[in-house]
Parts: sequence; structure tokens; C-alpha cells
Amino acid sequence: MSLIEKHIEKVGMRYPIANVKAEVDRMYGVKGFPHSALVDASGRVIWKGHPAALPKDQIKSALEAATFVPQPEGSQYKSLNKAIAKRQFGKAWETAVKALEKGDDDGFQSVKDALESLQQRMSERAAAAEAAGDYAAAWSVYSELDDLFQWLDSAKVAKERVKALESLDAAKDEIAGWERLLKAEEQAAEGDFEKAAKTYAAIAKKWPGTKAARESQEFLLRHPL
Amino acid sequence: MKTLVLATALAGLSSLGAVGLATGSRMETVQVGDPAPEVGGEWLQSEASSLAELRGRVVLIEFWRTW
Repeated sequence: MSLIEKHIEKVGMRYPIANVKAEVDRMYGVKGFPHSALVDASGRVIWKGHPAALPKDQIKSALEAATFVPQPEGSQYKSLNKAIAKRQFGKAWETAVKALEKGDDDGFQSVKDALESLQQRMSERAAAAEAAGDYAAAWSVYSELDDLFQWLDSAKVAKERVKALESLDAAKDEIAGWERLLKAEEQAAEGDFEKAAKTYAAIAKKWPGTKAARESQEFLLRHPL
Repeated sequence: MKTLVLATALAGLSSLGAVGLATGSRMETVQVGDPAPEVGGEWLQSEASSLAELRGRVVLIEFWRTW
């Protein structure tokens, strides 16, 4: 057993631990230890620094936007947990509802409640964005709702809103730019910041004045070529 | 209940990899606001994990090393 593995066992660390390549350290700008980065539900870095200075308020607000559903422990939840892990929340919902019809169970009830609350929060977030004219955010949250809660009525409603927004003249450029922005974010997440920077530059040029263009310009300011 | 959510939703990933002396340029170093680059490597006591898999959750990445 290596020194690291001995330490993991001694301390009782239960989260995933990897021996990473030096390029990961370099990308995260690790110069001293320990060093931490906080990543939000959309996959963005929202804070980095020494873990002792970890901002509690930022963790709290990030958790409010998380689309995380806790998995109950126990063999009776096997298929439920599989659906949750695959983020097939519509399927998880149906599994929980069917199980609850057969009898009371705290685990199924807690998942059903969590899914209900998540659906509610996402619908409110999408509607608020649409009302504020932030079509990119509205489109993105409605699309995610449709994707996560497939087969349920709430997903049908979300799908209709996605279609309605896509045919709205004022929203077309916002959405087209945002779709491309997702591509740029994917490239950055793969660690290719130069490639991503080119995509961000193209977005800023092709869809000026949109939210995607503003986000792109911010990335380019953070990463001057 | 709240504490439970915090503990489970914060999936930590620790790097224990040795770090070289090379420092990245501003172009290639993550800044606040950027999409988080993947943290692949040799997984020690769990199945392979990735940030892509943890989308939807809040993730704390912690870098450490041995001396």
C-alpha cells in the first residue's frame, strides 16, 4: 500500500481521489498546497484559493442552484437510484410514485419531494428569466427541465416554452449565440482554452449585443491572447 | 437536513499529484468564471469520476501532495 493509500484509509476519506497529471495542477494555477477550487452546478469555477478561506455564503448560494437529488441508501432503492444517477428524473419520479402507491416509505417520499421541489425551482427560474427578457437563460433552463423530466407533464410544458422561444424574433439571436457558447464551454472544460477563445471570439463577432457575446467578451478579457 | 445536503452535494476530488515547477500562462490558467477543466488522473479508491458526471452538483476540488 502506498503512502497516499495509507493516509486515505487512516483519515477515512470517502470522496474520489486521483493522482493527477502535472498539467491539471498547471491549469488550476496550483502554486502552493493545499489549494481549492469551487465549481457550481453549471460546471463553472466560482472561487479558488486556500480551503481555509472557503466562502460559506458562496457554497450556500451555489447549492441553491444545484440540480442534485440525494440517493437514499438501501437495496429497495436500486432502480430509483440508477435513474437518479443517470439524471433521468422523470423516470425516478415515476418509480417513486409507483412504490409509494404500494405502501409508505420514507426513502421514496424524500426523493419525490426533492424532485418536486427541483422542478418547482427550475420552472420559477425559467419563468423569471423569460419575464425579464433574458431569453438565453430561459431557453437554457426550459431545455434542461425538458431533458431531466422527460415524459412528465412539466417536461411537456417546458418543451412548449422552448419551441415558443425559438420562434420568437427577439430571442433567436440570444438562443443561437447561447447554443454556440455551450460549445465554447465544452472546449474550455476539455482544457483547450485556446480553441475555446477562438469560439468565444467568433460568438462575440457573430451575435453582438447578446448575452452570449457579453459572456464571450468576459472570457476573452480574462484570457488575453 | 441542510447539513446532510451540504455533505453529500459537495463531492470532493483531491489531487495528490506532484506538481512541476512550470507555471501556466494566463491564457491557460483557470480564472473565476471559467468552465472548470476536467481533472482526470489515476483514481485511487473509487471508480473513475469526472466533473462532467458531477454536473448539477456543487463540487469542491482540493489539491494536495505528499512531501
